[in-house]
Amino acid sequence: MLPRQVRKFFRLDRRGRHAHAAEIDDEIAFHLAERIDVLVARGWSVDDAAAEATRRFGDPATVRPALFAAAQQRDRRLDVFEWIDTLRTDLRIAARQLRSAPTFAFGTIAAFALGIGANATMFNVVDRLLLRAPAQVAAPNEVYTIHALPREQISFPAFVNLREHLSGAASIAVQTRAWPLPIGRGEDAQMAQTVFVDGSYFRTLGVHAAAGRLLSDDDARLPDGQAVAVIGFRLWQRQFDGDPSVVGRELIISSERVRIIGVAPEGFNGVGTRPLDLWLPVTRYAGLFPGGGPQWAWGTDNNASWLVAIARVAPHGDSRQVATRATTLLRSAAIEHATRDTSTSVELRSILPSRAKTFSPEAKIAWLLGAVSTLVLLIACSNATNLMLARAVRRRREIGIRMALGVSRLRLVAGLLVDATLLSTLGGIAAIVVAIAGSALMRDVLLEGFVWSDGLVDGRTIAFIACTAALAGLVTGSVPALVLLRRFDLSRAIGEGRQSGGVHRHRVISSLVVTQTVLSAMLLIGALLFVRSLTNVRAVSLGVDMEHVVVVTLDSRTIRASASRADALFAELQTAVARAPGVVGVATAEGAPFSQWFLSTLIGVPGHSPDSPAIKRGAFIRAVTSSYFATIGTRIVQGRAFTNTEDRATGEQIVIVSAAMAKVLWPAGGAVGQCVRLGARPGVDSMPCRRIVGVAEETQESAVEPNGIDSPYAAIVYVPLSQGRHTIGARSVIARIDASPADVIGRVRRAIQRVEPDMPLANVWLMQSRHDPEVRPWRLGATMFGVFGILALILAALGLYSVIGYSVTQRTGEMGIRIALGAQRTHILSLVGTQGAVLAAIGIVIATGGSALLAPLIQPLLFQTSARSVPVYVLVGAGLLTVAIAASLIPAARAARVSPMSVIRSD
Amino acid sequence: MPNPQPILHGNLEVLVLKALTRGPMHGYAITDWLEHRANGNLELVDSALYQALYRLEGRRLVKPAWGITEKNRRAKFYHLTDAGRAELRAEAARWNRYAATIGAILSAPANG
Repeated sequence: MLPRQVRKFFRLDRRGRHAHAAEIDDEIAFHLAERIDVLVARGWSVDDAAAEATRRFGDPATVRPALFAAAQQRDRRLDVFEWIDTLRTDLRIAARQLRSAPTFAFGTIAAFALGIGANATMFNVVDRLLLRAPAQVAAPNEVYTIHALPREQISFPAFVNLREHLSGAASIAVQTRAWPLPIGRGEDAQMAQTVFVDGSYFRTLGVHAAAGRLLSDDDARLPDGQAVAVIGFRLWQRQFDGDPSVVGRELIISSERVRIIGVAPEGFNGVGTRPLDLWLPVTRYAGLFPGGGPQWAWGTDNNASWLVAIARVAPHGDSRQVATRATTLLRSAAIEHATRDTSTSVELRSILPSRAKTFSPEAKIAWLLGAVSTLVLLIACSNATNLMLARAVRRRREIGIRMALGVSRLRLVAGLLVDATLLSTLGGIAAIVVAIAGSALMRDVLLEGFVWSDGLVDGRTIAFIACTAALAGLVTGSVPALVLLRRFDLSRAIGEGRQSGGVHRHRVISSLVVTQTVLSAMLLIGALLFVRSLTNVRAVSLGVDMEHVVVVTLDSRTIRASASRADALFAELQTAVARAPGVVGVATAEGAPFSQWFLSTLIGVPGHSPDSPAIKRGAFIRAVTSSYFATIGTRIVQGRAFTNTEDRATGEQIVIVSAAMAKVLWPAGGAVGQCVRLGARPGVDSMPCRRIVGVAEETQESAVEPNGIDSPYAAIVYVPLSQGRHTIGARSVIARIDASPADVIGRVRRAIQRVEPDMPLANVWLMQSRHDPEVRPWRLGATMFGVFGILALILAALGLYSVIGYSVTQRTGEMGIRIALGAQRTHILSLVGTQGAVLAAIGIVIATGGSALLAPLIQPLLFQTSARSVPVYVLVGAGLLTVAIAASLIPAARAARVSPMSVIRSD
Repeated sequence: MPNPQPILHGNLEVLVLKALTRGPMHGYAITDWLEHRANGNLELVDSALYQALYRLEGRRLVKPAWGITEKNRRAKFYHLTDAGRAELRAEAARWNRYAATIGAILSAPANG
């Protein structure tokens, strides 16, 4: 019999099975025999003593089964104890092994942490973007947004129409799209994302106030409603520190005095995902809406599509039926009022992201990144598997001995699984940190402007990490277990000793290294494709120096209020901005690029028929000061820019045209010296013909969908500001800067504040910021693929290094003998080095094929870049090969240093 | 002589633990010792003792090992584990507190 500790160490079964019945009977028999002995000694007859002993023991018919049951229960409890003991022993052994190989432990844990962390981050993003219903909305599955295609939004009369005639099937509410309005004045002013809603909005969504009350029908009664507002939770916390007494206070919103009646609940953002700060009754403040104005008869305007309608369909109601009825209602109303919507068709879209038909670009990228992060996790797992497998192979002899001692295969597998799970659990704990950092990055890069109200990482993400870690541990542990125990030749394993059983013979390990190379090569190819797309999209000239131009726009109210002295005000502003440090040039313009103002005009050109397409499509006017072109960075390609003295209303009427316009109207060239008539209404030919003094390069507002030469947006006519149309609302001050945009924007804002202390917050923005959303997908793709790709590369290099390293250790004897037989050390070096290079080369070939195969999937996400770009493939292949050779050379150098004498002696 | 009293369920375990403080014992020796100590005042069904022993074993308070008695019989000897010793201390303290409390109440003067 082996000592107990020995049996325990080798996890031998310590208790025989099926012996219980006999044991219990033995114990009973002994007890009865002892009792009989004592009674007999006291003078009882043997028969009487036996009867008495049995009587005192209890009725055998009931006692025996009861004892058996008790014994069974005991064994079940002991099994649990034993299981816990075994687990503790396994964990202790696993922990000891980790301590004895800290590099291995650290590498594996880091791989798990990165792999699981990346996945958790993407889960977090996908969860927030795609899986969650808008916060605080009651029964969100009943709520739909109404889209009156093709124009999506509806007019106020259409809303009233739907609300009255759909009652019963659905309750209808409306909101406008969000719009930033300034709150407060002067230095303290700030922008608040505002929506204008009707009185049934909050009731329809089933929302309850966090403080005070929400807007009611009374607040939004026709014709004008109350001067009240509901503020968002975020604004409440940020500006008022969550003080409940804020209810009843007054706010200055875009120069209007408005009383706060309540606070929306935390996280509530209507039916969307972007944060909202302010809800105003539409009936009172429709005039504040862009495009609105005091004179706008919004209540009866059938043509203005400006309201997003929301429907709550009755429980178990059919949203398609509601849509059909709404279509009929809107079409007949359109015929009645002779508007253009006679063929509109209404669609109801669920507000649940999971039921959305189309994904936002962010969501698409999130899915893609989710897939990519899964790849990274696979690499991490295969890396860990690899290392464990290499180690398990090294432990063949020990395992052989344990099996010889009778340890069951199940126990050995359990041991390996515990090893792997311990590693993946530690990795999972570290992954929480990775997920927090990753989520912070995601929130700032991908989800800029999205709601992210609660903590960075929540319970759902933690649960995801726990599940992923457990799964990763199981997968990682079972591969070496399977490989090791299948066809495990006991006598060979023990007989082989420590030196042989080389890793190089293990196809599994080699194929894992190849897999890693494939995955990292594909990720790197993806990264480079996105980088190329990004450089390509950045290289597209928009005709404006996006990085160095800051634009100042004013609140529409302010502008209207000061319409009479607008020229003076803008002149003052321009002077003030010019004096701000970091500003090197200023101009004023109406209808500047990216300002969202398009001032269209009819044109007439001598020698061109009014019916020719080039004339019929008209043009857009940009009224600019003489410094405009130099400031914004639009080049004059022919002729000259305006001069200071020409900017007079009474001077000669002159223009500069865009290159596209010049090309269409005067294909042979020579636009300079020709003339153009401009006018707002038919009869343009009676207007004076303005002389063309120059041709400006094309400006674009999109790099992805640039205006073709025939597009109306490509035809731009620049006029001196004083000869323009005085569309004050479209006017902005433009500044060229040579310092950090953030600093200059702050300084410009303060400079403006000093000019006009009472003015609500001016909007100051860098041109580039308006273009960022378009560039974002590529920047994101390049960043994320790059991060994941480099991660994968490091993991693959690590995997290769350790596998070759193990292989070298295994083959030390062989190397020693080769050297003893006269092999050159350089030969050993190349022998080992080649091994890594071959594995990498196989991986690269497979990756190239795989990428070419998957190219159609990724092609739509690229910009002017072929998904089968040969230079990219070659670059990645060469890079990976270099890394692979470098990773193998370190152990190879070790192999070449093997001393033949020490090897031969040790054998 | 009063009638022997049945042992209440669960109380037998603590008595067994107490018996085993004297050293490893087999089931009969425990019965014998308990009968001796109780002086015939406790009614004990022998099989109940074994059920109690199995329960204690299942909680890892006692541990069995087969051995040979002085009469050269093969018997299962039970000995206390560390956990068993701790359990006995706790249970004995609880019992003493309980008995003292009940005793104090019962011995209170009738007009107190």
